[in-house]
Amino acid sequence: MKREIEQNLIKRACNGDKEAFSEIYFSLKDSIFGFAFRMINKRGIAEEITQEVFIFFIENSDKYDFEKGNLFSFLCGVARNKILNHLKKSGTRLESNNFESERFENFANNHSPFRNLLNKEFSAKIEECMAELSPLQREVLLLRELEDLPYEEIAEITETSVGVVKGRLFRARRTLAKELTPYVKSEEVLYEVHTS
Amino acid sequence: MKCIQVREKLEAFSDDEIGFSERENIASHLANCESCGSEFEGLKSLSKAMKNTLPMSASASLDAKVFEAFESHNAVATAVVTEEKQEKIGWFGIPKLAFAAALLLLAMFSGFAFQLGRMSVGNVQENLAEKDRKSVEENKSKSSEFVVTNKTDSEEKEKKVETKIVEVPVIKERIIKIPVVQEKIVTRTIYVDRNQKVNKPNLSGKDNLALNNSVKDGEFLTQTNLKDFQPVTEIKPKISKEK
Ligand SMILES: [Zn+2]
Repeated sequence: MKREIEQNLIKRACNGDKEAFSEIYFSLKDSIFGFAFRMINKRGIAEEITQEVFIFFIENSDKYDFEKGNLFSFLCGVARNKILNHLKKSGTRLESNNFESERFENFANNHSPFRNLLNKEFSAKIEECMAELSPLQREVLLLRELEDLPYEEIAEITETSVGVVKGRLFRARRTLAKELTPYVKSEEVLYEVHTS
Repeated sequence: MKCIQVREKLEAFSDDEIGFSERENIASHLANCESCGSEFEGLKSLSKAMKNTLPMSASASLDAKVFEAFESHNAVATAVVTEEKQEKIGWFGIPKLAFAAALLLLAMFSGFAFQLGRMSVGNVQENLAEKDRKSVEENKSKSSEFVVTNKTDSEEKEKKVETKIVEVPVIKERIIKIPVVQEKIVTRTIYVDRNQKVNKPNLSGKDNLALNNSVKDGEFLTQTNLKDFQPVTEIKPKISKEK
């Protein structure tokens, strides 16, 4: 959304214009919800967080600082705090045990992690493998791939530097590629689907 | 550019985070080096698969809750604003109470003037008119004085209105509370017809296979009855390759 259009919508929503508010809401809600859901993996909690994020916006839209950047990044940051709080409360470690400490170069000198994935079918396993990443790696990957944000905005949302964002992305993608490789398939397979 | 340098910057290149001049160099290396080229393509397929798989849609019940919150927030805000206006503004923007006091004074003074007129019978008509005018002028200045002294009174009124704002969150609390939805666990097996050429079910969160009346237990799965699937509850499908 263009900056001026967005600012205009925010001002109108702040004055109680329902149409303006619904335009903002519908353009952002799935992105916010998707981010929360992929971080927590529970629909109910992800929706609760999304609701809280928008109520926060409703109650504070008059104080919104337009210099702060776009609204989506701002609300993503609000959502992120709620997500991490939830994860911490439920006892999830935010950093992974081994990968965060491993040196960047070890990966760079490494083989070719992504070549295996070329033209192969593995999307069904992505959700599962994403869950294996540490929350701090998963969030940068989601903000990059799902929300399509530039490094700088990701750094702002996750309250870190661009360098750290790059490092986490680098590790997250390699971990994911490594996890996915065993599931790489080239032909169509029949699936039995259990819903449980 | 050497392969090792390209590999280090492959992701930044793929994420469009590389300066223009370096971009050209990397692009030309990728076009000429098969090894780096296929690595780059692999990275792109990972990215593409994530973009296809990860997006999710929130349920419509969320919309209702958020809009309810929006409406109640604004209903309260409007109520406060109109109440303030009604309290503060009488006619011509003069505070109500001051205005009423001014009217009372005017009535008193005109009565006084009438008495004066009765006492000085035989006075010239002009004199009386002058006195009348004076009394009106006096009245005016008095009434304006009255407005000034009465300011504290209208300020107190405003304060009273402000305390009403504090009551608002109590009402909202009640509306926002989210009802706990009981989750229902369903087990269902759906078979895919071997002879029928159909696309694999999309197992991304978007179209989670879920309980739906259009497919009965043990029924064959086709693309048509997959299309209308609506997620009913949170379901994490387990996928296993058929033997
Ligand atoms: Zn090369």
